[in-house]
Amino acid sequence: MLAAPAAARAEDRVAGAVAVYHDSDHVTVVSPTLAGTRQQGRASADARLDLDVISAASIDLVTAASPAGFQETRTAVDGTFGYDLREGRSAHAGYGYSYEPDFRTHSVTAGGAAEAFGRRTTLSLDYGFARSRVGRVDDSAFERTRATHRIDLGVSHVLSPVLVAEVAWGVALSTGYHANPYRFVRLYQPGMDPPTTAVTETAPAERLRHLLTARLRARPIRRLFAIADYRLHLDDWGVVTHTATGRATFALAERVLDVSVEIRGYTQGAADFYRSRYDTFPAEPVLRTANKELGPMRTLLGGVVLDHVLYARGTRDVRVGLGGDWLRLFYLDYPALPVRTAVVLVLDLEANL
Amino acid sequence: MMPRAMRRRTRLLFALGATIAVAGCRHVEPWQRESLADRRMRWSAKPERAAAREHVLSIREGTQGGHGDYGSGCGCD
Repeated sequence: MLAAPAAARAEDRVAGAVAVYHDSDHVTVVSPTLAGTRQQGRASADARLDLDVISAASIDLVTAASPAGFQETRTAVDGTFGYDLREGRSAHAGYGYSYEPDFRTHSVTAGGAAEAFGRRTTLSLDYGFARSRVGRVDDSAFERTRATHRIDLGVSHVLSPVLVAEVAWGVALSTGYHANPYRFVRLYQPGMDPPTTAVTETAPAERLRHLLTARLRARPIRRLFAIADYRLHLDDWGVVTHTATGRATFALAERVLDVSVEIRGYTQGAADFYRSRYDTFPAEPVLRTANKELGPMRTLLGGVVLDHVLYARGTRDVRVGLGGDWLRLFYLDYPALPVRTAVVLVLDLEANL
Repeated sequence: MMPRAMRRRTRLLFALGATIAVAGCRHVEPWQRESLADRRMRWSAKPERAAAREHVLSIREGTQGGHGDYGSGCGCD
């Protein structure tokens, strides 16, 4: 987690949003969100409710356990308590719970931030732990668990009145069940078609990841805000990813209308045990996956957001926003679905009180 | 002995780092922090919108479950 600038303080806030995701692989997700922040003295409390209403008939499902597709709802709640310790220091702790019929997660987080060097540098440290239970909706006896620990360390530094630089490092270790109980891996006799059999997916019992982030935030001219972000992900499964994001926000009419445009590029190398086709029958590889998201892939995203201030008086305002992302995913070694196109529309309303 | 291209890149990196370090020495008064406090300078000016996007990307890409998003069932796969 990157450190927030010193001047970004909690404020009373209520917000709601609806996001709609739809892609060319016949997956539609409608995600309403409700969130609120309340500040009282030096203490603040945040709460949030997320829903995902999923309708899917993707290639992964049609070729696996649910040929007719399925519908499902995921519910997640989060709460965070923060406290201003004065002299540029703060602490926070939170709890989250996510539920869907075959996946439940309890998570806790704790962390703090401190300013230094005349409040120009902010250091942040966060710890998170999550425990998940993985099941199968058609098999009540099936239950596996997964635990994840993560630590995030961030540093942000004010370079000038209009320029902030940030770097962060995060490490996450997850142990337990990492496969998907609904996904089956086809095994072929070498050079033969169709597949001879299909076996359940398996994955390593442990995954250690590192995430390095570097970011610049600038206001080169009064009506223009720019952010550039680069992320490097490495893990012991062999997955290496690079992400570069650029965003520009134009204040078309100060305190009335902002327009943001964003472009993001992502490239990923495959996990060591990923194969687009396992020509190993009768032998079953110890590690085997049908997860295309563990293969080599590229992603390109372009987005536009309009933000309109409906009401403003002093520090209070009410805003409405409408944003759209266009997403193109290229699965470089997955013949069943080489390309996927998705759109995400988000309508949000917030009141800062 | 480093190849010429690598020596040039190394010099450029040092120059960039020195520029940033020198720029970092500039004093910023409290009354100059107007831009820094502006919500448009935040990475997530609207957390709900940012979370919706991050949720989609974390599921659609191979890094799900590592940093703040602890994964999900088969639904979004």
